[in-house]
Amino acid sequence: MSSVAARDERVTDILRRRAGQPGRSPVEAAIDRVWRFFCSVRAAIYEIVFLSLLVLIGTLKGSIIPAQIPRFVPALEPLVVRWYAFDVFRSGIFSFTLALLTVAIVVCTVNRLPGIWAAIAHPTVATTRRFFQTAEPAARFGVDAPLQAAVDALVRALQARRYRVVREDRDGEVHVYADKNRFGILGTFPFHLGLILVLVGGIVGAQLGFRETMFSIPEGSVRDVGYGTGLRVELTGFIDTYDELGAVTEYRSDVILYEGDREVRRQSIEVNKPLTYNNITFYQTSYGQAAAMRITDAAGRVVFEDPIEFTYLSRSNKDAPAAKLDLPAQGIALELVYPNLLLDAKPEIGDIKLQPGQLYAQARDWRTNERIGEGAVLGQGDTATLAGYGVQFVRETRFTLLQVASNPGIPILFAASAMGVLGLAVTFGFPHRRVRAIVSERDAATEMLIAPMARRDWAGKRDFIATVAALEPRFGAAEPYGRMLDERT
Amino acid sequence: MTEAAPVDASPRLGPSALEAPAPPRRAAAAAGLLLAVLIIVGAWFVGGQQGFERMGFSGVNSSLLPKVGDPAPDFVTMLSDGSIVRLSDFRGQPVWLNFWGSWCPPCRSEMPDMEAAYKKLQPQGLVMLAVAVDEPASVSFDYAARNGATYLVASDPERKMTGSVYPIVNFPTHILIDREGIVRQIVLAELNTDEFIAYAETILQPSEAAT
Amino acid sequence: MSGPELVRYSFYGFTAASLAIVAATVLYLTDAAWLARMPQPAGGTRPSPWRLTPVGMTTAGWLAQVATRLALVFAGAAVVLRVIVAKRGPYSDMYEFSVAFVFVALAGYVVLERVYRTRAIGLIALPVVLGMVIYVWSLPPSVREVRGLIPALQSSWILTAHVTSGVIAYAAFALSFAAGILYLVVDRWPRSWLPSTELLDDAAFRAVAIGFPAQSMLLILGSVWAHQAWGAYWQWDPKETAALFTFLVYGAYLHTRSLRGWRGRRSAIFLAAAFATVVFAYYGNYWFGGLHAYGGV
Repeated sequence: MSSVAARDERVTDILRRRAGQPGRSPVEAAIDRVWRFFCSVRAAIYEIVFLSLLVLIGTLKGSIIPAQIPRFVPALEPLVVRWYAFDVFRSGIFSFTLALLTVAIVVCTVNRLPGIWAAIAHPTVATTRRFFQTAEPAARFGVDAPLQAAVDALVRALQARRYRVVREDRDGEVHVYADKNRFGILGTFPFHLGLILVLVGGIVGAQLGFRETMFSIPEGSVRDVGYGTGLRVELTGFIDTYDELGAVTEYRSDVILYEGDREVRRQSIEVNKPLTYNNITFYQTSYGQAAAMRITDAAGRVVFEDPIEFTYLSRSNKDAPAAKLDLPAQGIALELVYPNLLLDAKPEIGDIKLQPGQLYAQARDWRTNERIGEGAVLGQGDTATLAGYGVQFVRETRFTLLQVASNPGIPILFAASAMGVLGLAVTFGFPHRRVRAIVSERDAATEMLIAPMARRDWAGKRDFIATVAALEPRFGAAEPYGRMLDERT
Repeated sequence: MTEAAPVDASPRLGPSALEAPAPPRRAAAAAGLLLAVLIIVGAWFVGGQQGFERMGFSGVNSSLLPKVGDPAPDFVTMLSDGSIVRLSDFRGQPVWLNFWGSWCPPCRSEMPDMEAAYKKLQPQGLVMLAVAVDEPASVSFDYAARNGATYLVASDPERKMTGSVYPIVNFPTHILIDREGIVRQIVLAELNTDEFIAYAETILQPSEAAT
Repeated sequence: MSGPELVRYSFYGFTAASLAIVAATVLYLTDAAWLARMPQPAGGTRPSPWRLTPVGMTTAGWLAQVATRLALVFAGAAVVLRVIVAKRGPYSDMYEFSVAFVFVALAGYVVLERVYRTRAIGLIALPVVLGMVIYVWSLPPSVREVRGLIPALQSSWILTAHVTSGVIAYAAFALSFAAGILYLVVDRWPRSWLPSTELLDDAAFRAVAIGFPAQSMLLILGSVWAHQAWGAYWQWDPKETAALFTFLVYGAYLHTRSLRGWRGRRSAIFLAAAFATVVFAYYGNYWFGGLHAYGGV
């Protein structure tokens, strides 16, 4: 095995040898040390363990466990509070460890390349008799033919079993090396490249894309997407359907997409059917109540007419949805409160308990946020005069909540996934099988020793047995050899 | 060369009881068959013990609401003017039956659309009957009056009248009944004016039996 | 057949599979007990390292194999009937997923039995499957009904592929666990009627060689689906994280095996321990809630 192992040359070994040479510069020594750190499987394991610990800390936050800790050990409460405050997955230490691991994967993989390539392209053909004595299983054929004829027959027989055969004549003996599926080992490279690309795709997506999780549009309204996209979305209708048992079967937003003033798309967005335009994707997330409002000035001119969505919660009653409408040109802001969704008796504002279908409106100074006059309770269709403006609650309606995301990392992620799966399929589907043989002349006959390189590799041994069985019709019955002989005694 | 060769892949261990031959084919097949029968009988027995015959009727196979194509079950209810009506009183007219409550936001937000659709379809003979449940009658009637509903508004506060035949879970529920009193469509969603009008088409056309 | 009947027969199928699995478990144990009491051949007790197990057929062993195959057929019927009623893959809740797991684990085991010509792995594999069967029976009877899906789960082909990969991965890992445990047993008490440690090492490795790509597919398809439904590939949801952790652990197994030569005992211990991450990933949604906490079970 020693001669074989010597061929498994790695970048590490090359560096180590070079580092051992006199006159190496400190830079070389440093590179060597860094390289070896990243190659170290032990370092990689520590990195993975540390990363797992971080992930555990981050993931457990979503469970009931942290909240239970102070109940049993009250002294740990400050720690739990800090735990909740620590956003693991956005922290520097998490990114750093992930980067470290990525570099380790790259370095480890690159490090293996020369050795693997050498095994594929320039396998060591020469071997020793000791190899056959220690190999298990190993077979011996006594062939009734001249040396070269026996070798030719062996080569043809192995080639018939899809082996690549390399031979080397030395000292009157012929050494034969045969292998198949040698390119299967290369599958590890696309797989690891895929892993790295997943990380790259994630980083590209996070850096170059954007994600707006709270893009709301009331029915009948048009809203700008922002983020420099120049897109506007109109919600023509929001529909939620249920089955007879009250379970949701569908959330659907019917939207029209405008680029500037031009209509570019008219589509329904559902939970699993997002709308994609120019790499920008709109996903259905949620929905809620909205109020169509109409505000007129003293002269009766309409200064505002659009639905307003209740996306906040009221400060005075945490269960009551609220909304705020800024009218900077008029110098006022309008605060709206919607009835408490729990339908309990708790008043929403002061002593006022709103009835379903009503809302409460309060005018404030846009700059100072000071109240202007008293607020008013409005039913559908009612108008009140607030800060000199006619405020009408036209009707109840709803808004849809979409998520808007642009992720340029997607093609990278898909390529990475395809690469990873392909790599795995090649690695596991085409295991490298290697066989060695020495053909020599002994006692006026030709002796053929043959054994697999399959130490502790059951499948490799099984494959070898099949190969030997295929050789038997040509060379006669095989005899056991090496350790198999020891075992029988 | 009589010794066991490494090429021999067949099971071999020398003379041993471990080499006990497989049971004769017939006996083996019979034993297997017996085992299969025992297992099936066992499963049947467990099924009886555990009441499997009651299985399969909820979930996707459930049928709480009347089926499309079946006659709509009749019920009695009280309208906002205090009068008592029966669903069957409207036989001969297409009936849009709606279940709602002022506590249900989507029901409230579709109300103006429903009213608009009603104004449009009333000349064609459409009856809209909106039954409010799970709240006092006065609350429902007040809400409907404040919001200008001109279609028929009824109330069944504790679902004593409709609960057994229309066990509604989802609000609003729309049940479209044709002139013959047959359920033509069930819509479990909030609708807008255009959708109200489009759905109503299915019951407004004179029925096939009449033509 | 009508919908309710199909639902019922599907569960009858699972009941029959359960009984067959109980029978198979008992029969594999009987077979082993019988073989253990047979006079051992001379020439040592260590099993041949590279030959197929030279064990003849016994009546109990034969019946155990028949019972396993019957269980496979019944479990398959349970899954297929359910899929017909629901018109989608078996992924709406832990019940459907677990029945599918039982089916795939049995199928994998039967393949293993044929390829390696040994019944011994069944000694561990069948009890593992039985554990899953007991878990299914412990679920409330309401899960036996087929339910409609929430919108996030209505992406048929991706979810079907996602969950299928998951079932294959977890079943393969369960089989590698069985082979790993048996390895440790044989390593300690080698018997000629038991397969060699090398065979078990290889069986465990091949199971992982199937399970690991399946686990990769599970993660990829899961994130593609999350991307469609929620607009984000990865949210560090507990079940997601546990699945990633499982992926890393089995990745580590493959690396230690190929790069550090950890074949044999250390790999077997590794596999026995690694299965804990699978159990954790499988039941993770119970303990942590999160986005995978569908349907209460």
